[in-house]
Amino acid sequence: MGPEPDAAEFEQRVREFGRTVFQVAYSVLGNTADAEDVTQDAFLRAYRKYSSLRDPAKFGAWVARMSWRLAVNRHRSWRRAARRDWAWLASPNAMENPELDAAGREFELRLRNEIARLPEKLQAVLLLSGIEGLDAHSVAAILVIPEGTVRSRLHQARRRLLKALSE
Amino acid sequence: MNGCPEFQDRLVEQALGGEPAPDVAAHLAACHGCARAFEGLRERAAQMEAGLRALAAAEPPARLANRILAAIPRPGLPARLDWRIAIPALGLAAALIISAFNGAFNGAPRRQADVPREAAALAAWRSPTEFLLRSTIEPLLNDTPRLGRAAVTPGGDTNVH
Repeated sequence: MGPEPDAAEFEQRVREFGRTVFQVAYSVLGNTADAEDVTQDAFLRAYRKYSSLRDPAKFGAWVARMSWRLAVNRHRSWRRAARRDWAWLASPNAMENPELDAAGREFELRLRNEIARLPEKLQAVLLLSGIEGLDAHSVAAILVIPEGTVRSRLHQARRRLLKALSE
Repeated sequence: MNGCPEFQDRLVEQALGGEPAPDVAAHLAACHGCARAFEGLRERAAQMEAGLRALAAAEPPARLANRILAAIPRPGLPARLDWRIAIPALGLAAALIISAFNGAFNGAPRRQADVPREAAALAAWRSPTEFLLRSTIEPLLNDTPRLGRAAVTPGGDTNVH
């Protein structure tokens, strides 16, 4: 293991990528408290393992990938605890966004439930692609898959989701 | 979703922004059911796209960056105690101490050569208050009287030998 990053440099990276890393976690978990915990955990891991990052230019995708994995693991533990329905129902920003009307909340719950029924590979590209500023190239870097795979999975996910929402 | 079953998948594709195919366009112009289903699909697709963007549109709390930076270990300061590691480590240390204690007092084999030396030391041991039990006639009491020998000298002292 090499040296840890310079404190000022790391602080700059936290401020630069914190929002995206948080939104990656939020897209999976659907609530601010858990997304905050995961974001902090992801950055702490990034700090400890900084020396293993070969290309500093890929820091954003690297820490976003950590956030994604941590969030997915946390969500899986919810499912193992048979609390998935509670989590999906209680957590989305339907509960946190007072601007959503009743119809909007109902649609959001339905949307989350239909996404949860998709295979995980499709869920990943669908959720990450919904994050502002993440294009197919960025999503591919986070998931470590080819960009073309991101595009094909995204298309497949949107098609299946639209059919499910239209039934 | 209604409409002709053989056109449903293609209507979905087109509602998601796919290239409009001439035969689908001709069918939509002729089939009222499919035209209505297609309009519904387009509205639902727009709602879905907006919903997907909204799922991750939450803004992180302003305190988050400071919270992360505060949790990072600073050089020269001990890292924050991680109880997930500390508790097993303390348990292991306690187990090592207990096993060492047991080994020192119970488990360690004793050398045979030590046993007679310890027994001799024990036999030679005398209580510090033993002298209080002694009296001036103690030698007389310990002595065996012999025939024709005075037990007490004329001077009053006990006859030791």
